[in-house]
Amino acid sequence: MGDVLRQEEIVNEARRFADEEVRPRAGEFDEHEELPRDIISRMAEKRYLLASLPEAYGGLSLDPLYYGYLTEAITKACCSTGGLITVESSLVGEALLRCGSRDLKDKWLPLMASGEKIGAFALSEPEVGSDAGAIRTRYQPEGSGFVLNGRKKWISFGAMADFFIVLASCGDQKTAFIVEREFNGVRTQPMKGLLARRASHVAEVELENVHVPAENVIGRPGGGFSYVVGTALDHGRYSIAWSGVAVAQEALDAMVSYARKRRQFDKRICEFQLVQGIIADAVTKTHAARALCIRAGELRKRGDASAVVETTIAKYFASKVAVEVAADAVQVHGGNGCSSSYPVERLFREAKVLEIIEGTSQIQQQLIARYGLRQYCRR
Amino acid sequence: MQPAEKIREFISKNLAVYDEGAVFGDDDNIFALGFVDSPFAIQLICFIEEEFQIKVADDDLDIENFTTVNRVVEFVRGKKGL
Repeated sequence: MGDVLRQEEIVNEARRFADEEVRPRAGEFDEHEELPRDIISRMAEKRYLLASLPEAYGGLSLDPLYYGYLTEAITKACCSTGGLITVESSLVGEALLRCGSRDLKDKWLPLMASGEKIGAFALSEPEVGSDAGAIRTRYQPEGSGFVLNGRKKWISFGAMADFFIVLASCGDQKTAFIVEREFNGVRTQPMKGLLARRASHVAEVELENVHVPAENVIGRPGGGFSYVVGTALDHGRYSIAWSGVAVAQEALDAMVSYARKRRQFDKRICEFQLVQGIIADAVTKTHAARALCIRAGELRKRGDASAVVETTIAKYFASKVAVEVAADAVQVHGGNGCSSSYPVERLFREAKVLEIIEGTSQIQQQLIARYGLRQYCRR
Repeated sequence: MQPAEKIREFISKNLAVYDEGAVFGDDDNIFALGFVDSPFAIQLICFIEEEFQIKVADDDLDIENFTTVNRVVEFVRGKKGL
């Protein structure tokens, strides 16, 4: 019970932090396409960056459920700020924790937790999105280490990252490496003009004859790839599922608040039944999405193998709900919803990305359909 | 139920193919045959840890340890000192 109370207090504090320090600046982050260092430092001070990781590494040891609540609290205020937690905790942190050597964990995780070093997960490439197995970035053994060549794209926080988990191939073998920004041959190019996640320092990462020492390999060369990618994407999907709930809830809050104030035809628009229908659907969908996330979180907490597919279901549904509710929130706002003066305009853009990152909805549908086809067949 | 039976049953329940005639032997590579999808690698680790109460360490996370029923059985027995 003591640990539940501790975690509840952390999440309550995160909600206060989001309300007071993040939400008021979310529009500014989006407009300037930058998550400022002071916000990152504040999150590091509060140990949010590796919130799901053990306290021994500087994390908060939040269990999956409370990690979900924390993700919702921060992402609700600003998707790029929440996205930093997704990248640090779920993608880089969890992959290192599960698959990294003791030396790699001891070196990098405390630096990440303190915000001294920012990590990024470099899987996608200009020609490789959903088909992760087809990566074209190459590695070759050389001396006691490896040489990497290739180009990564759409790397969240890549423009500011101090190191990258880079996935590369050598013939049929695929391996994950830690590549430090200061290694010769590493260049990054910020990507601007994006639909959403504009403050997430998204970048292209170019690797030209980059020498990587053997001790920077994560997992077994060749044999560990499935686990590094699988761990990162599984945790990433869980975080994005909660991000979907966050966007939907924020859009719902904005929709309801606006509908209760806005007057047309001498009535508040919330008195019109057609607007009430929109609100009813938004409430129902948001509650349903949260229920799926909670179920996935409880299964993850128990270490149940079915948590993987339940996380996929939660991610698919919650991101879809975020898109629908954010679109309806714009609709309720009318013309005002099309202006950046109102947060729903940003939420509308942010929601769409959730259906793409950490596995498109179509990839999730395939996985869910396979599960359904074997689970629900009468024999 | 013996470890081999438990592992075989878990794999059978999670096949990514729905051909009624799809069968796999204890030495068949279920990943190479396309009998399971990519998230299954993580699911199998969760299952092994939960079912057999063992911790799969970072050094153990080599796909070659988990490609066939017999390899998984060998891995579990090794971990449990059987």
